[in-house]
Amino acid sequence: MRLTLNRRETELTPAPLERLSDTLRAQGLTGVRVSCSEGECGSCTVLIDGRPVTSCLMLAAQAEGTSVETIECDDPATAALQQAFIEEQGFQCGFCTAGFILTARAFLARTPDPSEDEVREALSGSICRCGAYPFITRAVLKAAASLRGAA
Amino acid sequence: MTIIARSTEPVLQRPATLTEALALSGPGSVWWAGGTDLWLMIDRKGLRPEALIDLTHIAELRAIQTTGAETTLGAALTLAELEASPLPAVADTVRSMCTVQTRTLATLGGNLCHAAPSADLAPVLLALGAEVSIAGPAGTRRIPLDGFFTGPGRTVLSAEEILTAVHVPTPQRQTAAYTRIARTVVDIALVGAAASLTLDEECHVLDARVALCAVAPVPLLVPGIAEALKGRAYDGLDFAGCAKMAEEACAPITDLRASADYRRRMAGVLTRRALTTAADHLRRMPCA
Ligand SMILES: Cc1cc2nc3c(=O)[nH]c(=O)nc-3n(C[C@H](O)[C@H](O)[C@H](O)COP(=O)(O)OP(=O)(O)OC[C@H]3O[C@@H](n4cnc5c(N)ncnc54)[C@H](O)[C@@H]3O)c2cc1C
Ligand code: FES
Ligand code: FES
Repeated sequence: MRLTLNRRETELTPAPLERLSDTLRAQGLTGVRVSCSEGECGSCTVLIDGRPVTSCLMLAAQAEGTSVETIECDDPATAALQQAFIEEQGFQCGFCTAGFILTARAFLARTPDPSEDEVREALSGSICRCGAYPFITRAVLKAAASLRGAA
Repeated sequence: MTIIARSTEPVLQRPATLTEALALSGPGSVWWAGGTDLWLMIDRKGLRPEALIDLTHIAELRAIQTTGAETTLGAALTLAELEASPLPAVADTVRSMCTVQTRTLATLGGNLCHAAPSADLAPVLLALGAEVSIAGPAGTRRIPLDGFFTGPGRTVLSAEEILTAVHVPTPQRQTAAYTRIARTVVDIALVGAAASLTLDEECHVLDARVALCAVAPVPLLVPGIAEALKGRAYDGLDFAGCAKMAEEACAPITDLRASADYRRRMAGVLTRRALTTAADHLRRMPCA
């Protein structure tokens, strides 16, 4: 199948009942973290045509013809979020971070100036086992401000 | 890796039209929409499909059409797409379901066809008086959604049939609301109730419906609600009687999420809340 993976035309041959998360990890994109494998935790989140998707629940074959982006994809909004997560200490172990950042990136693209409550709701599909939520929320608000400044 | 070992691996087929999809159906084939319920069937219930037929590339299954009398929602619309649907009660319901990241995949048709007793879209669509269109080898038919569900995980669909669309009547001066109890957005509803209220030109109740989920083997319409409210002025309606009717209509079970007794009582409480919210929405809608 052909798809755009991290902005490069790519050809992949996933097994028929393969989950997209497994296909991506097999490509060395280990920023796709698999934890629950049931869509509950959000750590495997990637962007499909700009929208966040739990890749453990997506049949790899269904990604044909789409644009898939992972945390490894070079992107200014991803970079701004990463910087803000570092500054605000939006993580402890970091397992959940890629999922939070990609979900936040898709959210900020549509909602550049969100309230704190909107951030919380937008991120409610991700779980942080270390409980860094207040720091994550702060980091996303900070990244939003810096992205607005850059625009 | 979660690759299921088998001698003949099923291939994902991607028909572009309904006719092609129907022709691909065969023994052991499954319709694949978002797959969010299907993975659990594969992982936990031993489902081993022979062929996967992707319904999400059939244009008519992804369309939203509005005529004067009704809005038609294609069955393969995702929950994320329904967040922007012209039906406010449906858009609100969708935002209370799943997670942001699963709403991108999960579809309307999958939610109804999986027929979980707790499926959140069923009550609101029942309360809105929806009908569904079904296509199969023998042609198409259109039936009320009330009657579509036959048991937990079961519907009137045969394996060769596809749910193609949900038709929602859009009478004037109608509002609706859905409310549910769940621990988190990720959790399924412990109890859910939806209500709709329709007024006549004098601002009296013309029609009313209440539907419940997770309190019986199938989502259900509470009988007698329209009769109980019809003709009354919508301002200052008392919904205690309707709450009682909801409690009486349900046949809940006890499971790890909630006891039957709790579910029954909450069916009454949520019925009152849903009706009250629908009435509040009416207040913002001037009578003709
Ligand atoms: C993390 C998580 C949270 C969830 N939260 C909720 C929640 O809050 N509320 C809720 O109600 N559900 C919830 N669900 C369940 C699920 O996401 C929904 O039921 C979803 O709408 C199913 O849609 P799908 O397209 O993914 O279905 P699929 O898994 O693709 O299909 C489900 C079933 O329907 C059949 N099917 C699909 N489309 C058609 C069609 N057009 N015609 C005929 N048959 C068809 C399939 O063959 C299959 O048997 C949740 C699931 C997950 C993983
Ligand atoms: S691993 Fe995909 S949501 Fe948890
Ligand atoms: S930082 Fe450890 S899970 Fe979130």
